[in-house]
Amino acid sequence: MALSFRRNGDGSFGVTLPIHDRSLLEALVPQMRELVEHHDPDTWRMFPNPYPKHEKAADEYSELIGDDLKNGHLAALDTVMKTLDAKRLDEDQMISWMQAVNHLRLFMGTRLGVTEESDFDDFSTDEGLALFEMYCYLGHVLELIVQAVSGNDF
Amino acid sequence: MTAPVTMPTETVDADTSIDPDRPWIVLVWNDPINLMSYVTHVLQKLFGYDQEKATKLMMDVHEKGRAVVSNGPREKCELDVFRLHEHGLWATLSQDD
Repeated sequence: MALSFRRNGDGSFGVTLPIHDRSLLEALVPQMRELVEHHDPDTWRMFPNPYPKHEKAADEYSELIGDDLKNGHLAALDTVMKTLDAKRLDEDQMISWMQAVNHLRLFMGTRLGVTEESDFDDFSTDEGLALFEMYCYLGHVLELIVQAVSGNDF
Repeated sequence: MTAPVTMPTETVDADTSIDPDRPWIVLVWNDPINLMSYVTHVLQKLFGYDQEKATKLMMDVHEKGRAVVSNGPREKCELDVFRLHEHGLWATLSQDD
């Protein structure tokens, strides 16, 4: 059975997660959690500065939201770990999957320094190639989730 | 955008004055990571735009480098920015000029 996400009539989502895909997420998501928890510099895309022109306003905003954004990112990752074996997800859980997979892509893309033209030829080390392969794979996973959640045809 | 993602280091005109009477806008910036389908869907979901409007905004982000996705009082715009950040979009707010 291939990886798939589909919307059920009751608004929940049916999930088919083959063992290979499950193992990969099971390995990646806790690592991502650690990186977010410890403010790894390559997670900065998950925490953009909302006020690049107003230093004081940026500080005030940062104080206002506190750890809310970080905790939101962590909660999405935790939902994926808790529901790795679920055959059915409710809408909130499906959205958490979508956010968590996107977080993984943001981190990997930042670490790799990808551009819109990035290709396998751009990465010469085994580590870079492996990371880029996962980045592309997660792009495929995200496309499937977005199609299921949005109902849009792309 | 063809340049790799790098941390923006510019802190242009630190503490440019904020005029309490001018409206605020929320901008989404282009980046090479977020998928076009994903950005379109997030704009539909967060702002209730139909697919056509969300697609147009996404294409503006992609081709012009940024697009205004919402506007209003500062508090509302801050909340919009927060929700966009929860979804990993590169959003900022500023005063309309």
